[in-house]
Amino acid sequence: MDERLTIQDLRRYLDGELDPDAARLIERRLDGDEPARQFVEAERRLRDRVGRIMIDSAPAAPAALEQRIRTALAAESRDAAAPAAAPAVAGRIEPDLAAASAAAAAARPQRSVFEGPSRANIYAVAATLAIIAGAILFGIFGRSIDEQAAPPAVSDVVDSAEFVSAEHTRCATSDERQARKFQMTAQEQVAAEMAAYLGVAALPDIDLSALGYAFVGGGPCMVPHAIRSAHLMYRRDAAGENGLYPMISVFMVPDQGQFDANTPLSQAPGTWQSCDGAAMEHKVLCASDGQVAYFICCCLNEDLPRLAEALKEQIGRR
Amino acid sequence: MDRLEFEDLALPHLDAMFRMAMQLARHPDEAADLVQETYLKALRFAERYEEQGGGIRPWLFKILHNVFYTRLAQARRHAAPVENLAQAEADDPAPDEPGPAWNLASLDWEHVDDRLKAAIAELKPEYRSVLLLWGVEGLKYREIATIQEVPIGTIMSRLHRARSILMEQLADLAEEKGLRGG
Repeated sequence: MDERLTIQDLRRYLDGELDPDAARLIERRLDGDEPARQFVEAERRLRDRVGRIMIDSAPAAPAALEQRIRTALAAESRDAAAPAAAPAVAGRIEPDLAAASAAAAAARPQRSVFEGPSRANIYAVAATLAIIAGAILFGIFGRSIDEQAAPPAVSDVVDSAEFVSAEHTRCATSDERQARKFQMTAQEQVAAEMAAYLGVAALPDIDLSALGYAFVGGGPCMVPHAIRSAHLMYRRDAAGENGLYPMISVFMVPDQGQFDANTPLSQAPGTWQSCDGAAMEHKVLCASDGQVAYFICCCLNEDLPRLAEALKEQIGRR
Repeated sequence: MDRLEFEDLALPHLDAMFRMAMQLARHPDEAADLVQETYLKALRFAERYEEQGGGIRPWLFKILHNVFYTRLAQARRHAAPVENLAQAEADDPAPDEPGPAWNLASLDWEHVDDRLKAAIAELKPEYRSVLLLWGVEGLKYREIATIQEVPIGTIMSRLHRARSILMEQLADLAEEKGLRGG
């Protein structure tokens, strides 16, 4: 080591970065060098104050953050565990399955949405009755009904909404996740492709430009309690005060009668209902037109009513 | 490692993660988003984690830095300028100068926090990050270099520069109070 004590030497000594021999040499030099000794002492105090200041500036994470992370991790695990239904080819849905689904969907009666009092969906009611009858029969003969699509509880809608809120957050905060998930970026392409994928006759071409949001992309998703679902995202043209661009999510889930009569979707079809879950970071609204259940979510909660109004109009035009 | 095992291992470090995220992002909402993305990413790559002494915290810090700077680049904000190490070297006192001297006994260390806090807030994110990893987490230069994914010489330079800036603030404060020695 150089005979002269440098500031770097003294700092490395203080930080414990010197080997034992070099450290002992510094210590011997400090014994006879008062200014250097005072410098080391000042640096030691500076380190202590910096540490204290930085701890005091953020002593603990916000109380809700841990639960928010646990919810996101749980949804991530569930997402990762159920990739099978996603299409194998980027931007295209398996044509055979899509065609079969579309043919089946075309046989179902179409109805206009959000037109005031709803008409009974004969097929949905019949399916539900069949399921209930089957459940009773299997119960009589002691067979497990676990494999049947037992009428889900209200909590299943909330469960779906909690996933929607968490998935919205995950996608809104990760360009990488968006790029991976939204393999359809041309808006005119998405409605037709997603309709075929979901097995419905048609989906609305959702245009949110009047709200100041541009289409980002769309792709398959895995909302709980649905065999398949679709997720569309939109980004606001203008950044917020924090420099980030708020986003909107629209999730579409085929409504095949899996939401029972006591769920918000079935109680007032065509009317947006608020789904409140304990672990939801963003507010979620949901509604069904009998064919498709829509879950919507925004980074800015104040945009939610305008989004609901815009979608009501656009879905009604389908 | 399954999700529950990961949570047991990683969530106890949440406060430290949030503290670091605040130093980088300077806003609690953005810091919370950063931390969430960090944990999600860590879970995705949990099978790559290998205990190498020091626990999982340094690995999480590394992911957090990666997430922060990736977002920074994607948001198309002004990128942190490449350090002008030559300039930093030129600003250091000459090697044979022991540094400024003042009457330490009279400097009230309990009342320097406001000046130091303001000075820390003015530093670039990578300097604040280095100070936190050094001053709070007590990490060695090599560990900090691994987290920030830069050479150890860069860490030494950043830490040296940050400390010099802060010491200058204290020297100014001492001079204002007439405490500077001869």
